[in-house]
Amino acid sequence: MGLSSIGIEAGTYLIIGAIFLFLITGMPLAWVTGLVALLFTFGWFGESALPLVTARVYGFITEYSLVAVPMFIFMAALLDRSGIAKDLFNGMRVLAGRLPGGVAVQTLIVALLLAAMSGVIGGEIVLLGILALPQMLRLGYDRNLSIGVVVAGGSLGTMMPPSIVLIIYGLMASVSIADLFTAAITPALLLFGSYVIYVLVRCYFNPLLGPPMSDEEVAQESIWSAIKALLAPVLIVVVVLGSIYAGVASITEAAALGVSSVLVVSILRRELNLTMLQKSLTHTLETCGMIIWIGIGAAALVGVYNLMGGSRFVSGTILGLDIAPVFVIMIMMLILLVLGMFLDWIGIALLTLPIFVPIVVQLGYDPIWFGILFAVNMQVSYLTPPFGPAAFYLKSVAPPEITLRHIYASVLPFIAIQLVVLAILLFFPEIAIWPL
Amino acid sequence: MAIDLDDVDDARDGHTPEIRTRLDGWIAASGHFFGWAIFLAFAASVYEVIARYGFDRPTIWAHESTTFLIAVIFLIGGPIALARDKHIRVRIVYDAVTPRVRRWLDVLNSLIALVFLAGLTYAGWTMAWKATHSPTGDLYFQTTGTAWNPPTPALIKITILVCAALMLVQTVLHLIEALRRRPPADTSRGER
Repeated sequence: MGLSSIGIEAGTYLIIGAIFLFLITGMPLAWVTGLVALLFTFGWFGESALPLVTARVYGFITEYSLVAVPMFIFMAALLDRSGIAKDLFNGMRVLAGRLPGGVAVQTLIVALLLAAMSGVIGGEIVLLGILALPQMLRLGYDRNLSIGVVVAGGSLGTMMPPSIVLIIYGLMASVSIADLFTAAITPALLLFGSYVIYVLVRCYFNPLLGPPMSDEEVAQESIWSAIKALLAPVLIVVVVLGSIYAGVASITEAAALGVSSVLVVSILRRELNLTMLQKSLTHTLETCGMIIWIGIGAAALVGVYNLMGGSRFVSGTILGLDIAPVFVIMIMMLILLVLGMFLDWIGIALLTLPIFVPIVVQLGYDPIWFGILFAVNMQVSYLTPPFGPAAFYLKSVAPPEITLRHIYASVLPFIAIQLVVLAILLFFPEIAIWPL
Repeated sequence: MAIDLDDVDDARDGHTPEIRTRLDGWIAASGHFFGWAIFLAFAASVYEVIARYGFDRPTIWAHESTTFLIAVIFLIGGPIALARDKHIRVRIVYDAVTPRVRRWLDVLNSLIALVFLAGLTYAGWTMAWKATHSPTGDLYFQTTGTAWNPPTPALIKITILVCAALMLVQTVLHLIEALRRRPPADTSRGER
């Protein structure tokens, strides 16, 4: 009957073709996946199957772990609007010192701390673009290096716990989110360390790339201002990650505790007011609508595809390829990287993971480890043209003479670093899963 | 703080959203009210942790009510993001073409979106009907079946229907707006 007579293989290509065709017209991603889901439900199973789509929608939005997502977005929205990041950046100036490239390293450290405080990126890149980029440009830092540091550092949030990328992965792969958070720490630090080493090596061989601060600027800084600036961020990190790792609270509750700690800190700093709260809540609502409707469309599509026998088809095809399992993983990485150039991370997660993760498990790999690879992949996708969201975030606050072209050119070395780290994690899974 | 971060998402899309119809304006404004549901969910979660560890008396309602509030928030976020043109899309072709072609793309997009939203509304209607009526046709609200047993499944399913129908109406209005729009005389292209 109907569409199902073309068979699952042709059906698969038809779905992929339809998605790209609709996407290129500028249709919202959420509608594209949802529409393709509806069309195939109707064409394949007939009209009586249509409620399956809304049943998937219902199942998706009532997942308890998903409640953590708006909490973390709310927390990040509050953090972005408070002066905590600004004080942190200024306080950390003592670290820059007379070191060539010192301010770039300082920026990366601040980026790492911001990433550990909230699981959402975007605000981080904007903040670093406002705080760190002008500082580096003023000191005569190389423009490309400065931009790259801000964008790459600001994207660390996809890896560093509590990352909402890992929360969604945990949900899709049915693995412990706390385990994912534990496994992600070493790889996140490895990425961070690689960025720092890259900056230091380049500035060591060519100090003109990152001229050190003058003596009087260095003399102004004291170690006490640094410690004071660290107090609030460390408190927030301890509340969120501490309650997760200690097993005291669920991810959702830890996120809510994180929100309270930010609220308390903002009250102590006398920054909290109704406008700030209202703006943060409205922003959270909009961001949720954006993310979740992509998820709704993708969840419906993958549900229908699996009913059509798609999951069996893909795993049968991949497992029948008769190649070493590690190549299967590499093919998946390649698919994720290509999709990352065009789609949003949540769409990629919901479309690919229900198909990939069972294959990964069947091949005998650890789904936690694959989750870490996925998070690195999504970090790359934030930077890669033509739709690296990170570039657009920075563009909005960068000086007007910095174009998207400059930004994309500047992130290339950092994408290379991410790919090297991805390869290292691929061949040495212990780097991620040793603490488990 | 002098930093205004309210354009973070506009920044990602590379454009500032514009409100296209009066209905969109109302829906966008309702976000200021519904946003507080997130605050309620946050407060309930914190209360639960305090009740559990502080007083050793976990609640039976916190878990279900936060899930309910957030599910409703997720759904309402759809029409609101649509009203403010915040849904993520691939703009590479859309931004490169002339306003004339862009108008036709808008018409095409609205038409395709209508198909999706009409299907979703129909499916949502079927599901909402089942969740609010017993097999014999009496009014009956589907509940979660837990100790607290709230009728939240029925309420969420009604919300799915309402949001799908609302977005359908929004899209019809967008289609009318795109058809009526007179493309500007100049050929200025989308600026980043």
